[in-house]
Amino acid sequence: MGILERVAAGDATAVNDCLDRYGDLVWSLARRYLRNEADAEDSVQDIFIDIWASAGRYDRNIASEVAFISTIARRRLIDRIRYVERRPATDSLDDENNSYEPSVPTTLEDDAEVTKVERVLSRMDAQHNEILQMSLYEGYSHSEIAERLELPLGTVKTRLRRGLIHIRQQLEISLAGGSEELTG
Amino acid sequence: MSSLMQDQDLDRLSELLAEEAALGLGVQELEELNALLPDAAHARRQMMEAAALAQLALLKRDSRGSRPMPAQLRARLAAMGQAQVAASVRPAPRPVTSLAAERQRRQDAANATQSLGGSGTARTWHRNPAIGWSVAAALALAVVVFRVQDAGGPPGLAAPDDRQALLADPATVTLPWSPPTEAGYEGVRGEVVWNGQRQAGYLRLTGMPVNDPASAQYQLWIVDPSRDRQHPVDGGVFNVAASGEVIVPIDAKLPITAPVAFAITLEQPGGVVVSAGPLLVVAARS
Repeated sequence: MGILERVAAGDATAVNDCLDRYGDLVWSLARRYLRNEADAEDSVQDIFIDIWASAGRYDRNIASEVAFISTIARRRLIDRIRYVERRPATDSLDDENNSYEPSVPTTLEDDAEVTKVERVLSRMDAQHNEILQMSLYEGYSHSEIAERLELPLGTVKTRLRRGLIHIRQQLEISLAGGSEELTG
Repeated sequence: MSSLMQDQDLDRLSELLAEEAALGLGVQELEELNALLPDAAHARRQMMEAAALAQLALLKRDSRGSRPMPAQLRARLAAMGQAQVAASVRPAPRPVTSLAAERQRRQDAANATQSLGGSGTARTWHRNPAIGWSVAAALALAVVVFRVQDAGGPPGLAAPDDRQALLADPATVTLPWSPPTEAGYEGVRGEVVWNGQRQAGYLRLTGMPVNDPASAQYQLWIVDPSRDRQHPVDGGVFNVAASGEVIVPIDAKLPITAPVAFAITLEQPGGVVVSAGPLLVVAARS
């Protein structure tokens, strides 16, 4: 039985397992997306409360645990960034103790869906990659991206939309083994 | 998705889906999305999942992206999670009634709350100004007379099994309460669970102050722009008779199609037809 299924069954010990496996991952996403540590703490608390409340809806036939959890995390991070309505500061990660060893989150190393998206991104051109990274990973607004990259706002929106649709399509057809490059 | 959808509508639909997955949607954009694709839940979930997986892939390739969660945050989350998970399956004890509630037994019959012994949180929260404004505007402009709840009590969902079944339904949506700022309500947490197909749902609240039913009762309001943007639907009155976690079945007086927000006010006993607020706790779609 998976961690979320144990949570849904009322196994309180699964809470620690959930934090062991996904705690650093969710925290890492929040810190990169929100930058401010207090905002990240509040958001991560919301995320895990939502995860535990929603565990009963998890279906392993539809998504992996990490996909389910990261989708909840993404919704809550968006809620938070819309609430704080603040630009992500490029230098605000220094309010955290940085005495840690950089590493790839172990949770992601063997996840097939994440690996698939990683491959899709690696085949995507630099312009789409940059916009997706700034928007999805770093939390910049469309207008901030347009300003920083000196691109028309419409171009930023179009490339972001095309990139997301491309990723979604590639995930859908991943079992068929086909893919196309996205450029321009 | 309708095969009759025009190209420009398809473009706009994909734009809205991408916008939601990237930065979220406001109330008006959400209304537009629901108008373009009434059964948009699957498409929205797919796009959000694609964005979430992309976020993970970008984290994976960021050599300095992984960070350990602070120990004190982890400890707090573990304590909260264990209480939450244990409470979710514990048989519901009978409500703990206060002296004031004893004096108001008739109104207490309408009290659907059940003490489940959960714990609140002492964190300081702030309400989302945009959410507060939209719901406050809807409440302030309400002029339609709603029927308030009588003493008959709200329907069902008292049993944990019923709530689990509701949560397991893919049509069920869960909206967490936004961080409150009203004095005395800062520690309120929990969420709204609503299923439009079943027209049923409940509120879960922790840290909600106990009310004296003789002088005031809590009242739920549901903002459903598909019905009437300006007039929230009365979701019933309820009492909180004991500290800890309470579960309140939603008793919507009218069919709810596309709720975008739920809000709780404190009103005179029996509730009101038009609320002047303030909005104590709000849950809204982003």
